[in-house]
Amino acid sequence: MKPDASIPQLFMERLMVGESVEDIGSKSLSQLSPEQRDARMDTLRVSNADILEMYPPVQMRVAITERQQLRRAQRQRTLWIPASGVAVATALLALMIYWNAAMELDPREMREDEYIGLKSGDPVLRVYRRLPDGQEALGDGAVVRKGETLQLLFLTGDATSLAILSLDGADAVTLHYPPDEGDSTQVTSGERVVVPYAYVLDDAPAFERFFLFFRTDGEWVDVSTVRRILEQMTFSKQRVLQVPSGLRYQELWLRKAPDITTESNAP
Amino acid sequence: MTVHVEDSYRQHGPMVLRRCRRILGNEEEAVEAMQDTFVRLLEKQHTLSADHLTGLLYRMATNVCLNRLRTRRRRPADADTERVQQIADARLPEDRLLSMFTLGRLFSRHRESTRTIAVLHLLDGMTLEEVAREVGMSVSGVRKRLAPLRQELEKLDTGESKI
Repeated sequence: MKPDASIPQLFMERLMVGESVEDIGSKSLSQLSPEQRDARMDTLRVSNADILEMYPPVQMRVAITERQQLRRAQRQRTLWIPASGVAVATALLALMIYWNAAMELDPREMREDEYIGLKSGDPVLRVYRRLPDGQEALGDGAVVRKGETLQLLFLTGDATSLAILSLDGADAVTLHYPPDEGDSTQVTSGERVVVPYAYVLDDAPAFERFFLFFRTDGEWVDVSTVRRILEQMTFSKQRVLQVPSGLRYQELWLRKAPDITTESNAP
Repeated sequence: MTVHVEDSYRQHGPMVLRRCRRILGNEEEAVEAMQDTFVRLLEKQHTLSADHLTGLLYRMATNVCLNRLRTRRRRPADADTERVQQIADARLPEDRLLSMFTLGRLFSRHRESTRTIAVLHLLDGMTLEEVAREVGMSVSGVRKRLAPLRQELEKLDTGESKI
């Protein structure tokens, strides 16, 4: 009989929730004697009871729900309010970013000259604007408007780690890739990646600056570090970022058209 | 699929926590990772099927934990010798694999799906066929993903690889 210690744990877990040995399809599991199988499942039953006693379902439901709300709040924008030269971060709920499913991008939109002007192997950031009948690639200096939906795509080039954030004219910093603060910034070189969520523009004035931070040295980009770098920039006063050695970046600067409604209501 | 947190936790929570304990080796972190796994499930519930939920949660928990291992990585200022010692001290092959994840060796070069495959095969002991069935790939695809990772592990064992 096969020693039961060599059975992958997942298969025993699946047995516990009622899947059959046949459904699981593991040769090693099927070679277990019924006694060995029962002994393992008894161990799991005891462990289940212990865990549910230590971490009761009601408490865990509350904890999980709170964590989910915290993650949602972290996705909302942080507004810097400059005051006497010192920026103060405020949790912002008044301005919401609506996340939509990623648009289907037509690969024919990828220009062949994407690497012109860039060092060979550098990653490339592309921003697309959703149109009623497709999408439009936006270049540096393109004009965008409140309510438009943007989709980001990047080519990883030789980068082994990267992150994409944006800074707008209201000094708000938004993380676009990876999707969450705690996610890995590791990428595989030579790949084309569509950022999972589209981005609807709000009424922040003047500009939307997209930054692709990357490294090719095997170290990885730390999201909190690059977020801090952007948050230290004040509105339109700083054009060049001060970044640590080994960290590089590219930028795409979009101009924001004035919000007509706001302008017409101005005193 | 609609996820009812309490019911899902009652049925699958212990399994997820066991998984997180195995990878993280720290109770507090494991509980947090378990909770994060269910948050991920909630966020993706409308795009998931209830079929094979156990396997899905198991893989989700694995990825959550591997990402946490990555954040344990020491700052560059720490001595390289400490890193070498950490791997050398890990006697079991699976602990050496986890040590390598902790040290970020396997993050910078491999996709999340490859790391999952590596853990299922090298840590959990699944055959290539079992891994392929679990992740929905062909056996040759799994083998191809593992090949460069195996080479890195072998280099580490022979001392060829720089830490």
